[in-house]
Amino acid sequence: MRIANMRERLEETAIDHVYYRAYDPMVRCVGREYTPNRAAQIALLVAAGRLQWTPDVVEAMYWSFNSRIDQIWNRDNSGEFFDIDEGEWDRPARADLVDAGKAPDWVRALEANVTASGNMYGLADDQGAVGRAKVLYLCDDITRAKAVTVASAIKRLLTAQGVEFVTLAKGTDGWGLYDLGLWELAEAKAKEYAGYIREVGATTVVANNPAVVYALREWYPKLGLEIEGEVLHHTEYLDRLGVSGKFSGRVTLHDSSYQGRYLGIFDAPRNLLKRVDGLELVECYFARDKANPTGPLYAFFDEGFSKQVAARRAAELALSAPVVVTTDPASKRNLGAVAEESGINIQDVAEVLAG
Amino acid sequence: MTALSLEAALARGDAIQVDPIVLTQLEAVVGKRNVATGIADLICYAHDIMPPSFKWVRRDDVPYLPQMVVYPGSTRDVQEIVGIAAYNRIPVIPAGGTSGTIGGILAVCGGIVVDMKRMNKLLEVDEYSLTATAQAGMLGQDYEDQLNMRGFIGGHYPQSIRCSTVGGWIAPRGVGTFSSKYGKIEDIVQSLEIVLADGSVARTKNAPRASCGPDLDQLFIGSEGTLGIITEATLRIWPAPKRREWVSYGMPTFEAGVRASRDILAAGVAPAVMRLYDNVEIAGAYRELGYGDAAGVEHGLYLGCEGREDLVELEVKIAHEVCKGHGGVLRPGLGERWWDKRYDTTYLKKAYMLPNGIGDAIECASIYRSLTPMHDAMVAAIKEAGAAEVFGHGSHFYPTGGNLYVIWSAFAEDEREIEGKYWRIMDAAMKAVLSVDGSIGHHHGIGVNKGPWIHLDAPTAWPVVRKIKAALDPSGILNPGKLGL
Repeated sequence: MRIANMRERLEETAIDHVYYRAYDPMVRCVGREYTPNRAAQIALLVAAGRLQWTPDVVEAMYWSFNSRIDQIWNRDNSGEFFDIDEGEWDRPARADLVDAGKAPDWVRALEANVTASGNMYGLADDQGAVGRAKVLYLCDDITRAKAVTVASAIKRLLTAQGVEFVTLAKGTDGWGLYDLGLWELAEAKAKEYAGYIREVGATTVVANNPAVVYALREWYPKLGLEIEGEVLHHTEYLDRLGVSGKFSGRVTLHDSSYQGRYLGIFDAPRNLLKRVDGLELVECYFARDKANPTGPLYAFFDEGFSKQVAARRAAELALSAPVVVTTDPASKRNLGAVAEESGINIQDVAEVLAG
Repeated sequence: MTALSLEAALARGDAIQVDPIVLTQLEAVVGKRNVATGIADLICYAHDIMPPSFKWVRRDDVPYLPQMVVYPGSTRDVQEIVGIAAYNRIPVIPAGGTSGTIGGILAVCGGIVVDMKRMNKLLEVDEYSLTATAQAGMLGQDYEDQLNMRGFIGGHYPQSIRCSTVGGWIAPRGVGTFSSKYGKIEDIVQSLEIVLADGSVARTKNAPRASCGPDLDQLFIGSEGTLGIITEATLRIWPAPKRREWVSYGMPTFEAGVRASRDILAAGVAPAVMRLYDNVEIAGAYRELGYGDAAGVEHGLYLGCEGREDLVELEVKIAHEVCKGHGGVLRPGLGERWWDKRYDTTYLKKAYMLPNGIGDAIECASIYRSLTPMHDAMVAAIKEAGAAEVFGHGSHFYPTGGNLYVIWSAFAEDEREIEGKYWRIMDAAMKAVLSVDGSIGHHHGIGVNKGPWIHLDAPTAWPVVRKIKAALDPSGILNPGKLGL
C-alpha cells in the first residue's frame, strides 16, 4: 500500500491547524469538515490497519479537489514548515483504492468509458492531427465535451494571425485519470497522447486546458515522456502573438487552479484583456493565487456539492462584473452550470478576443 | 450514553447503528444527506486542536466518537434537532470550525454533533446602525471578507479567524488581536438568537444598551453550548480604518511594559493592538531585526494604532511619550514583524510533531497589580513541572488589567509519558494563576481542557452557574462534560 510509506507526511497534515479552512471549498461552500487534515487522519488509520476501505472511508479520499488553495493559505501559518499538498498523498491513496478494487463506482465507470472510447467523456468524434506543423493546438477531451466554443475561438484567432497549425482532438492526456487513482490507465493514455503529439513534430504545443499544460510540462517528464517543442497555455501563446480584440463593458477574470496556482500563469490573460478595446478589467476580491476554485477539474462524487462550490465562486465574481472571463474549460463548465441563477455571463479569454 | 471508541464503532459496522427512530426523525428534519453516521464523518469531530488530541492522532487513536453528525440549514432545523434529542435524552454537541483548543467539540458522552457550518450566511448589514447579523456557522474570515467588500470591518481578528466560526467566537467568549480598540467578543455582540434545551428559541434585544433586567447575551456568551445553541448573532461593525501605525519599544522590565500599557489606556488612547512580550519570547525577533545586543535583555512592547488619520497621529504621539516615560527604547519593526507573522503557529506545531513532544499556549487574565506576578509564577511553575522552554506575553489590555499567554514546550523520554506530563504542567500552571487570584481563562474557554480547575476560579460564584445549568438544561443534554458541568 503506497500510503503505508507516507506516514510522516500524513501525520503532518493530520495534525495541522487547518488555518486554511475558510478557503477550503468543501468547508466554505458545502459546510462539511472535509479538509485535507481530516482525510489524512482517516488515511493514517487505514495505513495503520485500524480502518478498512469501507465506502465512506473511500469517499473521504475523494473529498479534495486538489486545487492547492489550502496550500497557499497554509503558508501564511507555517511558512514552508507544513507545506500542505494533499495531492501528494491523496492521489497515491486513490491509486491504492483502485489496486485494491475498492474505487468508487463513478471512478470505475469512468475507467470503462475511457477504455471504450479513448477519452474521458466518451466522445465518438476522435480526430487525430493530420500532417506535420510547427504549431499544434491540443483540443483536449474536456474542451471538446464541455467548451467546444472555446476551441472554435482559438482556431479562429490562430487563423486570423496567420499561424499554420494543426489540431489534435483525440484521446486524453491522462492527468485526470492519474488524479483519480487510475494510474495504470493514466500512464498508458499519456504514452498514447505523447505519441500523437510527436507525430506532428511541432515546435510549439498550445493547449487551452491548463491541466494539460501542467501534465505535459511537469508530469510527462516524470513518466519519461519528453515532449519536443515548447508547451504553452493558449493565453501565453496568444499574448506572445500580441492578439487584441474589441469588447464593450466590464469583465472580471477567474484565475483557475491550474492556470494560477499550478502553473503560475497570471500575467498572460491580463495582458490579453488589457489589449481589448472597450474592455474594463475589474479584479475580483479573490484573484491570482488566492482565487477560490469553481469546483472539480474532471469529476466528483457528489454533483450537488460541486454545484454549491461553483455557485459560491460565481456569487463572488458577480460582485465585480457581469461577465466572467475564464482560462480553463473546467472553470467554464463549472461556472456555466450556475451562470443563469448567478446572473453572470461566462466567456473564455479566447472567446472575448475572437469577438 | 457514552462516547464510542473506534473499536466499538467498527464493531457496529460501517454505518454505525443508531436508534433507527431517531435517525429517521433527524433525516426528516434536515434531509438524508445532512445526517451522517459513517465512520469517516464521525472521525472528523474526534479532535480539535487541544494539544493532547494531536497525540491521539499520532498514535492512531480516536477516543471520542459521536454517534452521528447532523448539518442543520436553519434555526428551525436546530430547534427540531434539539427537540428530538431532548425527548430521547441524547447529548447534543454544537460544532463550528472545530478549531478550539479546549476539546469543546469532543463527544465525551457520545451523542449528536450539530455542525453549524451550513448556516453560513451574512443575513444583514445595517450600515447606518453599524451592525451585521450572521448565522452562527459562518466562517470568521468569510464574515470579515464580506464586510470588507462593503467597506466595513468586523474588528474581531483571532489568530483562528480562517478556521473559526462566528458562533465559535461567541461560545467560548473569544477575543481578537485588535481587542483593545474593538473589544472582546462580549463587547462586540449586540444580540443573539439561541435554541434552548427544550427546542424553543430565544432572541435577545438588538439594542446598544438596555435596562431591562440581566443581560442575557452575557449569559450565553461563553456558555460553550452548555446552555443553548447559538444560531444567529448581531455584531457591531466599524468603517474600514484609513490608517494603521506601529509603535514598538524595548522595555527594561516586563513590569515597565505592563505599567506603560496601563498608562496608555488610562490616558484615553485605545490602540487596536497592544502586545507585551517577555525577554525570552521577543529575543528571536530582536535578532532578526538587528537588535541582537539587547536580545534576551529587553522586553518588547508594541502597539498598533488605527482609524482616522488625525486620531492615529495623536495616539502614536501619546504612546511614544508613555513608553519613553517608562524607560522604553525605540525598536522599530517589532509590530510590523508581528503583523506579517500573525498567523504563524509553527512553534507549537514543531513540538506536536515530535513523538515525545507537546506544548501549549495557556491564556489567563488578571488585574494590573497581579499581571507580572502571574507571569513570573506561571513561568516558574511550568518550568518546575518539567517544561523545556517557557515564555510569555500579554496580548490584550484593558483599563484595569490584561491577559497573559504563557507558552511552553515539553518532552518526555517515553512517548507514552507525554500526555501525563501535559496534565501535570497544566495543573501547575492553573494553580500558579489561582495563587495570584488570576482568572484561569481569558478567551479560549474551559471545555474539557480546564474543566478540573474551573470550580476554583471563583469558588463562591461557580455554584450559580450550576444552578443556571440545572434550570435551563435539566436533562443535561447540552454539550455535557464541558465548562466543568
